[in-house]
Amino acid sequence: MHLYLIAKKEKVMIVKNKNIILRKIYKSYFLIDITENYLNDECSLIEINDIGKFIWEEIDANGASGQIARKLKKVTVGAVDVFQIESDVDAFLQMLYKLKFVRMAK
Amino acid sequence: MNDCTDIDKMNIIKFDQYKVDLWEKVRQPLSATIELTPRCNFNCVHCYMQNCHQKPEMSYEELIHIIDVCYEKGVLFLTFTGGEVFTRNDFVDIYLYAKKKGFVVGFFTNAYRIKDEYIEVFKEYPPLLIDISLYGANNETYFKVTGVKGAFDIVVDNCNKLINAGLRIALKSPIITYTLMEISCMRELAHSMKVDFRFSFDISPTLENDRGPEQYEVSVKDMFKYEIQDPIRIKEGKKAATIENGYAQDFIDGIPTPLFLCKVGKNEFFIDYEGNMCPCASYRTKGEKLTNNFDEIWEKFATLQKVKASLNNKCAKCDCRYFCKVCPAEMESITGNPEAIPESLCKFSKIRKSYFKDLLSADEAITKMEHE
Repeated sequence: MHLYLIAKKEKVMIVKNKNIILRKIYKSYFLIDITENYLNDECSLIEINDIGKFIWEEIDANGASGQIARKLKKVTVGAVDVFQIESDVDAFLQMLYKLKFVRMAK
Repeated sequence: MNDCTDIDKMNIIKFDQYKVDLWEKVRQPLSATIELTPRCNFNCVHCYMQNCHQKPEMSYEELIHIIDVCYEKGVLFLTFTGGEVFTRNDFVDIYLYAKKKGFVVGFFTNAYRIKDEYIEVFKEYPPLLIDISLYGANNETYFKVTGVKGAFDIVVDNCNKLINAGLRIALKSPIITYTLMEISCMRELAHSMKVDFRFSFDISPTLENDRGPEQYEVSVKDMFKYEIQDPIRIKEGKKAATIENGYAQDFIDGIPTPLFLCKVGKNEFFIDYEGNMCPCASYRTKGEKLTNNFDEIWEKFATLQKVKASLNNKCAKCDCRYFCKVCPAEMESITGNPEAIPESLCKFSKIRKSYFKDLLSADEAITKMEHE
């Protein structure tokens, strides 16, 4: 089941983890976890593309992938199936959820 | 806008070499070191800032402006240094501001003034690295170097607190005559803490070009004795021995060769305690006050990679160029001429080269140095 459907069923919102910061470094966007402790001698960043950035910025305002997908369709050039967009948005949200970059909140 | 299937590309990536290479190619300012203060709670005999400790430091607002500029320009890594960063009562506020902007932040410290409440903040928002300077392996040596009694015990205690808090630290030591015999003890200390230890023999004149600190500099012969026991330095020396010095041949053949062999001006810069943006910590003479002129200054730094050695440059045609550490920026600071060379060091570089090229044994090299 889509994350936003779960959120809807549970009557909760999908919200961003406040410790995840979006940075732009030379034409690339990264999500950076500022609570990472680097103990494995690695600095891991999550690179996202323009669409990922769009979704990330919409999460707090819209809270569910259905609404984000409809907004995304409006700015997408060409005929794209809204259900496909919804599915892709949800896949991205699922990834963020697994990483604890977003969470469910009342 | 890209097609929606690009979502597939949103995979977790490591901060990889591809990005580093790209950023180097386009001269993306990636890393900045900011000298938060000239002040220090220690008064080290060899310190290049020993005459600056009473000078004014930038205000919180000035530093925040600089951090904001770094953010706008896409800098990712910030390193805070001093002086001693913990002499600023607002250091943790500055640190947190940078963290919450999304920088990857580290800092240098002598670890004397680290309070438990600070450690709690670092636990929640960890630094990339807390790089701690050691000035000996006991309280007596610490007192001789820093002028502060009982400092060693406090520093070790604080190191252990940071480690126990799960924070990533490293130990480093600027080796001077007072601490030369304690390298192995400091290394053992780091080993017992399971953290990295590195040391350097580099001692610089003060920022006012007072060469007093050099009286504490270890002799070249003693440096060499330690160098050939240190795995990192052995690796560097062996690597240098494999480099065909094409630059020297080019120079001899009349082909212009670069003055700087380092990456100065490519991806990093340094902000001194007065707010001047410099190519690196050694190149303060090229510093300019940073206001809203970042791009202008950054473009000036781009020219450094294009500077060619003059026909009189002795280093450019020297086949020991990779076996000595003469830095044009430092030489410009000391003598006003980036192409000046400390001739007394040339003969030692030749001996080092012979050793690493397996033309001399360690004993032969040391004996030769003793006779120079």
